[in-house]
Amino acid sequence: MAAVAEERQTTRRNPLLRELGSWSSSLKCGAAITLLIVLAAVFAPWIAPYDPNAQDFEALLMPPGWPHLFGTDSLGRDIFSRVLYGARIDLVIGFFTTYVPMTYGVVLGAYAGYKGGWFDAVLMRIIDVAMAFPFLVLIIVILAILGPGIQNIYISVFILAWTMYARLARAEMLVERTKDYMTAVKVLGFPQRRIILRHGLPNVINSSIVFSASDFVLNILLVSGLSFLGLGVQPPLPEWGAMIAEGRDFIRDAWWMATMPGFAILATGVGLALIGDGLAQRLGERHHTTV
Amino acid sequence: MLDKRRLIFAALVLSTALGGASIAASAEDVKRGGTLTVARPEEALTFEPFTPSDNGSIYNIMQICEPLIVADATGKGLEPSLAESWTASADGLTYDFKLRPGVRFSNGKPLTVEDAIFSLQKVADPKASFGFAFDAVKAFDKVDDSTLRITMKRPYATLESALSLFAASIVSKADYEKDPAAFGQKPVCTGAFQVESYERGTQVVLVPNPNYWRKGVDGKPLPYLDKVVLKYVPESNSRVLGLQNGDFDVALVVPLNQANSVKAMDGVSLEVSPSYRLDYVFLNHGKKPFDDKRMRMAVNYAANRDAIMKAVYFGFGEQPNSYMPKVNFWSDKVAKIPYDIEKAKALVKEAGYDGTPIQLMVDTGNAPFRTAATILQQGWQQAGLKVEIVEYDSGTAFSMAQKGEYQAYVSYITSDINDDDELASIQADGTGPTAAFFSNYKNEEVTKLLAQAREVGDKAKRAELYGKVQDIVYNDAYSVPLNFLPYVNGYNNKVKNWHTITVGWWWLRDVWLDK
Amino acid sequence: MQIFRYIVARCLHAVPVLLGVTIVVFLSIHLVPGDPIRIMMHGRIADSEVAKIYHDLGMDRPILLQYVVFLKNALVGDLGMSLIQKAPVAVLVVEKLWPTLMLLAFSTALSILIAVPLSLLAAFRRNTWLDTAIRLGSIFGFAMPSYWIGLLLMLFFGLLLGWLPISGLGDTPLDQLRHLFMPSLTIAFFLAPILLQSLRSAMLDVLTSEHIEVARAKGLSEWRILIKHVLRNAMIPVITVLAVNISWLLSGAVVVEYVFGLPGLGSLLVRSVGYRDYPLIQGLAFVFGVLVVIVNLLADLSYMLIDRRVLRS
Repeated sequence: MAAVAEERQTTRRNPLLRELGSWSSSLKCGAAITLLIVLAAVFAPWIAPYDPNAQDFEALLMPPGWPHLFGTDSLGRDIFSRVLYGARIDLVIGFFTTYVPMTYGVVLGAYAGYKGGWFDAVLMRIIDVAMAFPFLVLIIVILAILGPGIQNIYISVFILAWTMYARLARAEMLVERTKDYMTAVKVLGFPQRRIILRHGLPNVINSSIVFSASDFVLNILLVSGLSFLGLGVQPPLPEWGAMIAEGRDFIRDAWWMATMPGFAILATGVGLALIGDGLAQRLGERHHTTV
Repeated sequence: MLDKRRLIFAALVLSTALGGASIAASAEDVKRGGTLTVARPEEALTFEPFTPSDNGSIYNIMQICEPLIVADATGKGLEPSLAESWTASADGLTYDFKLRPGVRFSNGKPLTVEDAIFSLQKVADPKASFGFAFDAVKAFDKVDDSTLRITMKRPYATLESALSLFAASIVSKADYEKDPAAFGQKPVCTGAFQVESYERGTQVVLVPNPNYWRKGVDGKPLPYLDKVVLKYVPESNSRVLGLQNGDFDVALVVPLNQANSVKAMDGVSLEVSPSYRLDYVFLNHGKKPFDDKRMRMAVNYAANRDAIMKAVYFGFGEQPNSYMPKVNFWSDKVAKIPYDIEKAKALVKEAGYDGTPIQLMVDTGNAPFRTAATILQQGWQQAGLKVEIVEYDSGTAFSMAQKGEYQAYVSYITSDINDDDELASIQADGTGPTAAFFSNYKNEEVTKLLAQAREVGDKAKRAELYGKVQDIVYNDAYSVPLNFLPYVNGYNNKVKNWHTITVGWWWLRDVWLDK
Repeated sequence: MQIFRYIVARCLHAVPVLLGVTIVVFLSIHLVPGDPIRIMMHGRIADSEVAKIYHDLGMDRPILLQYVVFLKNALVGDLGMSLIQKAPVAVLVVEKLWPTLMLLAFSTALSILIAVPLSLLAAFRRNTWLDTAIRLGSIFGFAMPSYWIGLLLMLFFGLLLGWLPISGLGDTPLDQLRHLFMPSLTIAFFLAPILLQSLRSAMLDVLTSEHIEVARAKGLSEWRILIKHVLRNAMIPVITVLAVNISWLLSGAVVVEYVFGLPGLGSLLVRSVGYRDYPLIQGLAFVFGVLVVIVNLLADLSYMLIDRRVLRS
């Protein structure tokens, strides 16, 4: 932290540039890749050369080239356009499945860490149990009960994914609560809610933010994996995992069908993971990739 | 690739062996011995013959267990199997079956009338899966040590077909009763093969039943093979690859997009054999918007069948001109409804479609049907309809269809009988128990024609009547027919006498290897 | 004595978790909206049969009693009957346990083989282009969908080169290893990076610690220090990371088994979801949960054992 502060004092430039200048190369690369993909998703209707769902029976299974950059699939649909539109689906689902559970996970964890007692004990047991299952297995079991589909993926992830954040925030809070400033605000008689939300949270959220970047990657992998298994997003929506599943039957004679969407997932994952890496260095946290 | 759904009604069957007419092979041609390895996309769940309705189990059971009667080699009639002969009383209320003498189970025990009675009582139990097929039976009785009597509550012309069902197989009573669960793993029957080992979800190994009664062309008992390994290989690429590099002698259900490359492989043949199967879109006439014939016609005009034949079936099959599979009385005189978006648009407008989205239902994981649905969706949308594709696992989807809780459903029907009567009645007769196979189709004229066809004995007259029914029902836009889909399998050229019969399975007892 | 107490404490800690696992598993079938049996049998079943199945499953009794019975049965390894496969769930699960365990063992071994030398290299040549390349490589491995990598491996090694079988599990042990190679490599693609990262930082910690400074002062070469002191101490993070990631590893195994058609617990789970065979799904969830708890417990215990030796040395 000291080094960062020093650096800040010595640089006298535009604050934005100064901020960027302090970023590590992984953070810069990650942000650039992610920004590119987000832009591609936002501007997909203008960039995509074709309607992602338009079928062309004169151009079935065309290899990558011109005019179909990534080739066409078994219905003659342009894979490049589908991959672009797919970014909209995967990024949005990835975002919500990461940051919605993070919000209440951190609050619950911080509260438990601060309060202790029976609430903490019960919460920890619930977390222990949830973590005793392979995440995917529990999601699959919930989907077996509710049926496949995006909506039910949201429900099942919301039920489960907060636990990691709660655990991280609780661990941080246990450290924070013993620090002087916490004792001070407590002595000053601030209400508990204010202590936790205003003073505790900003200090315990760092590890969760770092983790959220890799969690984002994991969630995109999860959702596309579920779609690949036929339990997630249903075709003809151009979701990346579903596209790979569609390409599986054609892997012998049309390798591009399954390969291209995979590169999209890979690029997104690398971008976000680099951001996580950079954030971890910057916020002085160890990189969490574990679930 | 396509999981074939066995319809309970279609199972009221004559298990015909139409395609199975064996090529006459002389005694010196046939070689004995060897192991045949078959890669199947379906998993065998059980060998207990009385309950299954999945092809993974049924096709295996057909190799191991035998009923009293089976279809003859031409498939035109029935042939005695475990029953050597039978007689029916003039009033049709009593049947006497004489058991074939000297038949023994795979464990050497002789076949008795008690075994037959026990087995038939199991299948005829009204609570059992196929009990409905024996609804008209009053009792099974022993007359003497080789004669079984079936007494009927009422005359029932389909009794003989019902007896040829796989579920009416005769099992060893003592072995079944000892431990039904163990029996499901290792059945004791009289068929050509018996189970050597069964690894669930992996493979089934069959070895010859040393006591089998049928003789081969060389005068010795069948089967010719020493061993058959039926591997469960759900991944279609693996089946094709295994066929190519010789791991598998037969790869069942070749994915159609790879059929031509299989055909081009050295030493491998592609079998394309006709089936009693029709892929079609079920339409629910009992629900908006398909209660309106104009809407049903519109979705037919807007179905790009050329594209479906190209992208889904890769040219395999035939565009249908009927609402039911191509069975004996199929007529080629009915003209196909053409692809005509403009006509479809006009009809949609005329019908006053209110813009409510139409749900097109597909089974989860059925890639070809999903592709077909996607093509239909595009055409229907061009015609001015709003279409959503919804996926349910096949069980849920089928039960929704049964309950009439659907609008359109991409699925199929198979007939296990070569006569039109069964399926025509099930699909088109609105007064039947399935509401015209869940379509809620009602047409009094069709009902009358079908009743008439059932009574007429003359073939030409029946053909005429069924042709009429085909014309009326098809042009009432009963459904959106997609394809008469054949069975497409690949096999190594050293495999001789391999035939898939129209109902879907193969007689391993007749297969031999030219090493 | 303290160690004994530690072991007991760890085991006791696992008890409430296991209880929780049974509650979740037990509730799973009760949370199915509507009528699970009818959904499962696709509505093709008579009312009397439904009632009979509910009775056979004991689902017509009070819920608390049902739970007690479920718990009692689960304790003796009775997980009920599969309704589709018509066999005891426990039997089905045990049949499929072996391929899954082999896959886990093989992929763990492969990941260690990949991660240990690379992390050593990265730690030794820290902050060089090599270190960066290895770190970048592990980020790529981490971000790749395993089913996609599986398909690509299948395409290259199976379909194009024809070196390895692309699905199923062979008959002989050697054949099984051949069949397991690509699935294990697929898992290693995401497991090795996770190991690598923890190993690298653990090794750096050791490298900068005092007794290494002492060793350095004694004039031992960097490589000898790494191999003698660092590698031995790296055992602990390997075990911890593997234990913490066991559930993640099992999740990966589910997908990879499905891709490669391996007849293990994972593909059984995906298939039983297709059949809606709730007793089987329940049984599988239970086994997966128990597996994770056991692995964590073992890791705790072995960690302690190694830790002691570390303390002593």
